[in-house]
Amino acid sequence: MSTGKKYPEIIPGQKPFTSLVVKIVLFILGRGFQSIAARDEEVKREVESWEESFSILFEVLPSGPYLYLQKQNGRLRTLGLVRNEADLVISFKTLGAAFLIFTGQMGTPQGYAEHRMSVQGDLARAMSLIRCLNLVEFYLFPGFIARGILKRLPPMTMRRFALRMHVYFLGIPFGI
Amino acid sequence: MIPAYYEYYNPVKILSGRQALDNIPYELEILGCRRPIVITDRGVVEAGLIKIVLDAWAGSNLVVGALFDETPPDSSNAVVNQVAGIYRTNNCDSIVAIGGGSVLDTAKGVNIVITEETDDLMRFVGAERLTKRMRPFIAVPTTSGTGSEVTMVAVIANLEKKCKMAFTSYMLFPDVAVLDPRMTITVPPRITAATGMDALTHAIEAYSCLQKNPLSDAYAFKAVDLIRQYLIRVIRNGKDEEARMAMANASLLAGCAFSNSMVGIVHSIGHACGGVCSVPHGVAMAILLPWGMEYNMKECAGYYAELLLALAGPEVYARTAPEKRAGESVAAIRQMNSTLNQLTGMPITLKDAGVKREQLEEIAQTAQGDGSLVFNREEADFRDILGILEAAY
Repeated sequence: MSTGKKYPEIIPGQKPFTSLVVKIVLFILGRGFQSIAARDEEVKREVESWEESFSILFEVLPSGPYLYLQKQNGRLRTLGLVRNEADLVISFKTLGAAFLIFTGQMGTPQGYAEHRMSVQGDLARAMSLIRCLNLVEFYLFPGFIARGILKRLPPMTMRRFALRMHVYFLGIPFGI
Repeated sequence: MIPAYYEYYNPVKILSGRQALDNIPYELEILGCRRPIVITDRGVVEAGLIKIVLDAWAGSNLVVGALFDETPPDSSNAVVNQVAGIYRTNNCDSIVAIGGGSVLDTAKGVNIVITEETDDLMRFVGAERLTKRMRPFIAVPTTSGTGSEVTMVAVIANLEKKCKMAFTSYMLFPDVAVLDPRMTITVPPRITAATGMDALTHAIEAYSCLQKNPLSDAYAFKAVDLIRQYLIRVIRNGKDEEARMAMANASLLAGCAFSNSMVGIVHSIGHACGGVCSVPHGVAMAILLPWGMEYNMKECAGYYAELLLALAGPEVYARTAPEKRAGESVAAIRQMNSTLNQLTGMPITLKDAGVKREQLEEIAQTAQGDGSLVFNREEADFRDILGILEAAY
């Protein structure tokens, strides 16, 4: 017996603000990683161990934002907020998960432990990337945030402070 | 304390006890299958275990589509592809794996290849990359250590690229795990000791790593308690069926625990010891566990203190002052190692296990690339890992 009541489909809304924040942070992450990889000895050493053209994709499921990085001519380059086939793919299951991690509310190991992301590719390379990301987060985030998301805070030295300033004022804005 | 967020999943049906093997044809029938490939190794065949299995299946409608008994000690993509070919040629419809960790991992690899219709496992390397439902798979462990019958992990060597491929996916869980006392009764004392310590390490690391949660804690705690009660007992009398079943259950419980809460630095270094120096996994776990716990003490003392109840029993727990319980847990493990060394000759230093001092740096370097290091609560770099290796040497 039909009551005449209709049951229309419901499409959940979007999260434009969250998406925008994640895009901005991914842009900063890409530029920052590029700059730090050229100057921090430990990150440089990790990147040197990667083969030429090794590529990394950060993606937020189901349809972005994205960040694509690749080793070109011995240096790590950010190729922008684009999606490409990559050797190592870090997929965030939800926009919310990416927001938590990229805004420094949760560290990468904790995010991985909580199944908020999946990894496609060689796990040894993934571990190398995580070591790099720990240092990149140390440089990009102020101390009081980094302290909450890193298992161990590297000691701040004059050299590291200078690099942090370089990243803030030259690396991120100008891609140097 | 309840974690802010966790996930727990374990869909494996568990059959444990007398005549458990006999139920396999029935379980396969429920899964719509009657023609499994049986994957095992020569050791299992020569121990007479396959004959026991086939006798247990007599009178059923099951037909063994093929028996592959050449699984090597370390699973590889070549073997996986070979077995998958046999599966297809013989029109098998399911997989029954009977053996230790390598056999079970090989079976998981075969299932990936069959289901994904590929011969390139590299495409699926990583975490949570498999999306298709696998072919029905029943796991019958013949050691009480790896817990692979209830885990979502498989590690398979890629011979061409000379690396280990790690697969982590909810799809890799077997449908059924079968613990039958007949399958572990012939395990020699030294292997029983090593695999028992592997299970203990799974449980302790699961109880203390980043992904710990109330469900995995419950499994891990019970596993430790069973190992305390039964490991030495079964070493002294290998034919003690009750002790064998208890250890099989302990290994399964520890597997349930670590499959959901992962492991940490002891496994990272242990895997590297196996890869670089071929130290048997269980032996590496036994040697490294107390040192790994000491390294993690600052972050994990509370968890180790709780585990003293399971590790040493209620009397020791009650008479130990709270601030000393974590240290007593480590001491209990060292005592266990010492007893196992006296009873079976199991090594308790890396040097006795055949590791050369000049290999320690290579082991430390390799350990840094192990995925389980992420889940360790304490950060560990090359120097820290080398320090642990030096201490364990």
